[in-house]
Amino acid sequence: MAVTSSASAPREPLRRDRAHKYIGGVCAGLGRHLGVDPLVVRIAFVAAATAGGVGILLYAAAWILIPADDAREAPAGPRVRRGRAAIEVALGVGLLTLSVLLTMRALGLWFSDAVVWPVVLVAAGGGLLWRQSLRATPAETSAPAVGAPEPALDERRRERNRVLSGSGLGAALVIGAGVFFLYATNSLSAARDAVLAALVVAVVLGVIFAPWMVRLVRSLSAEREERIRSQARAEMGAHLHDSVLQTLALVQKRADDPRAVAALARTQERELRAWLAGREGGHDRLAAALEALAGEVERAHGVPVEVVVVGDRVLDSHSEALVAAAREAMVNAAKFGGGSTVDVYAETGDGELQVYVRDRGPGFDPAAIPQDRRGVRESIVGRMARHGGRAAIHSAPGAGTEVELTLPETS
Amino acid sequence: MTSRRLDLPSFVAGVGMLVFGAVLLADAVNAIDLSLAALAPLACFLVGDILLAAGLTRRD
Repeated sequence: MAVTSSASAPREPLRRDRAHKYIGGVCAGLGRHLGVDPLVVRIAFVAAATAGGVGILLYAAAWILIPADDAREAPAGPRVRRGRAAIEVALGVGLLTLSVLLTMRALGLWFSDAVVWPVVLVAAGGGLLWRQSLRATPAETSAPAVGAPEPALDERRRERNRVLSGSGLGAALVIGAGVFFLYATNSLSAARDAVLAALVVAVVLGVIFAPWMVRLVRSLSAEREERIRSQARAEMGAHLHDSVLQTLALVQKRADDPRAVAALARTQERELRAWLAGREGGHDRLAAALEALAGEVERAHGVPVEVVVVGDRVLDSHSEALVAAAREAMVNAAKFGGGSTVDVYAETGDGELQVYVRDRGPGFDPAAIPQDRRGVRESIVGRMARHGGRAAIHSAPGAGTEVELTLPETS
Repeated sequence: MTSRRLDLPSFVAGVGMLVFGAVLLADAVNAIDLSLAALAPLACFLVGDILLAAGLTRRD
């Protein structure tokens, strides 16, 4: 009778994750290996560090014994468990850490109740607050991609409730740590008087400044909505330029070939319908997306496009914008590169994703681009800036052109 | 020949219960003096192990 383990998925090898490290990448590597949120592992190590320094010793040993990964091959982010599995793992790690703490306390390897328990609570609460703030940031600061399906209202409400409940629990743990510390050091009554005085001052100031605060909040909210609308308009403009306007230019160029014109129109219609339905692209990895675009540009413009990708990764909304900017750079190179081969080189690693598009054509002066031309200005430079990246054009008359696109990796 | 899968959470829970029972038995025959300070970390360890094993093997 053979007995096999019931592991649900093959685990990644145990390596220190240098791409997502704070110190040595031990916690990030352990989290990735186990499929556990690295935050849980970090809190466990901080808590164990307060128990006679056990956590520090364990971390140092792991740093020495566990080999580091190759940061250039690091994936976009660790795959962590979600839902009930995540809760079970977090509770399990928490209880195991608590058992270590209680054991150390029983053995006398202990600083003080007034120090250790507040530190543990602050680590847990602070970690939760940090995580919730990271979860809340993307939705608040970036506009949804035009054409992408809007998340369902229920899903957004559930996500907001998750963030609020996580933040509430984190804040409660930190406040509990403070109260426990004051209680353990017999300072609770003095702190109560101070809190009462601060509360009275806060209420008085609140009554005085409430109308002004409400106006300020409304103004900030309106400004944020306007910024999101403006970003969405810019995204839509860039997309229309890259697709419809480019196709219309090709149609004019091939006006003497009705079959080619019809084929271009059909392709554009399919692409536009897919974009409106929010199912554009179809490639979820960088290399596949760049290869597909290179083939598309080759077919449309009859210019060879060579693609080299070092270190593939899964695409997200930001890296999809990078791919769209690379497509525009490829089209420009094919159109204005004098028929020379277009070289595309993409590389991931060192916390950045970089794509270079190069041609050996006549080159141009980037400063001389007319204001009404949107290709370089909006579809490449503006698009990269809207997604937190940057674009640099290296070109001079007679020296070819290289477009350098850089996007910081999001964890 | 059929292949049987090891249910890791059940295995961990079983081993944990055996250890817990052995400790309680040792206390009952006065082989050790079991206090709350020693029992609490043992109980946390037992429950934490089971939860961790369940979480790591759950297919979500």
